[in-house]
Amino acid sequence: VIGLFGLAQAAAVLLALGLAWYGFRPSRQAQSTHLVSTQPTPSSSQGYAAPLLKVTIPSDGFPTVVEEGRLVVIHADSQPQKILVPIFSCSTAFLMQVEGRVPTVVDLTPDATAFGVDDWYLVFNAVESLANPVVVMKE
Amino acid sequence: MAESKRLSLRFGIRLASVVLALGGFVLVLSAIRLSRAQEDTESNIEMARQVTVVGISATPGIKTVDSKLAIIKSQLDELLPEHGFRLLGAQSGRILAPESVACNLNNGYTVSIRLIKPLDENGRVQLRCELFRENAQEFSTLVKTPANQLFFCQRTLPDGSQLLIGVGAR
Repeated sequence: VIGLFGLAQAAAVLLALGLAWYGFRPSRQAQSTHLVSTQPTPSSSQGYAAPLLKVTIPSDGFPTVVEEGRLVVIHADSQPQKILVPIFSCSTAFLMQVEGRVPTVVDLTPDATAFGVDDWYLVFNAVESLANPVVVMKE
Repeated sequence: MAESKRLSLRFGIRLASVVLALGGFVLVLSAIRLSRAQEDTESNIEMARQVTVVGISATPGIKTVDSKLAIIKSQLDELLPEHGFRLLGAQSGRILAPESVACNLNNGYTVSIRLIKPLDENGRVQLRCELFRENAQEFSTLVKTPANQLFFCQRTLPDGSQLLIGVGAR
């Protein structure tokens, strides 16, 4: 019995260690946000007060992930936005207020039939040559 | 009495062995993690990237195209149809993280591309794009992009024209 108890304890400690080791690493950095504050909202007429969770998106916004062969344009004109999201769980409910700038990303990749990746590879080469002009011939 | 003493002694020994085993396990995990982090940092520090940035002004309603951009006019038309294009500046440099390539766009704007990670765990290059106007930051974003591929940032300027910034890394 004591051996089983010891094993169970070891398993629990290992589980806790595992969670501590891997659990706090965000699975996607793209969705990391900075928590500013939580504050309760004023009580309603029924006496129910839903807590308000304020989340501020960092000034850098979300990272943009570009897929292979996609033509992506990131619009840098976005204005600060405020979004209110109700969150319901089995025992509680609260409101999440998300605010900050989120750049708009547009995928302009043409249809697969017409799209040639080489076109944009050539554009890359052309742009590089604009940055590093080479003298072909000199008298 | 003797029985309970023996039981507690046995329990103590088992507890001590479990604690020792756990300690060893944690030490091994720490060593693996440290060595992996070190390898990752070393490979990232050693890898250089050729980072290129180009700034283009696109004005709606006109058809004129800068002669230097004539070779890529058809592709620029795909991005912004019915616009005239003018080259503002282009820079390219071979850099290590966390160095950056800056490009003066000659209209009060400067764009800076900082190499954050030359190769991340998904095989992408991580670049931070920052746009400054008179040294004040107007825009900043982190982009994870495949190598040898251009992406663009677009911003509307006060005069109604569009600032198009093309960025790529090899």
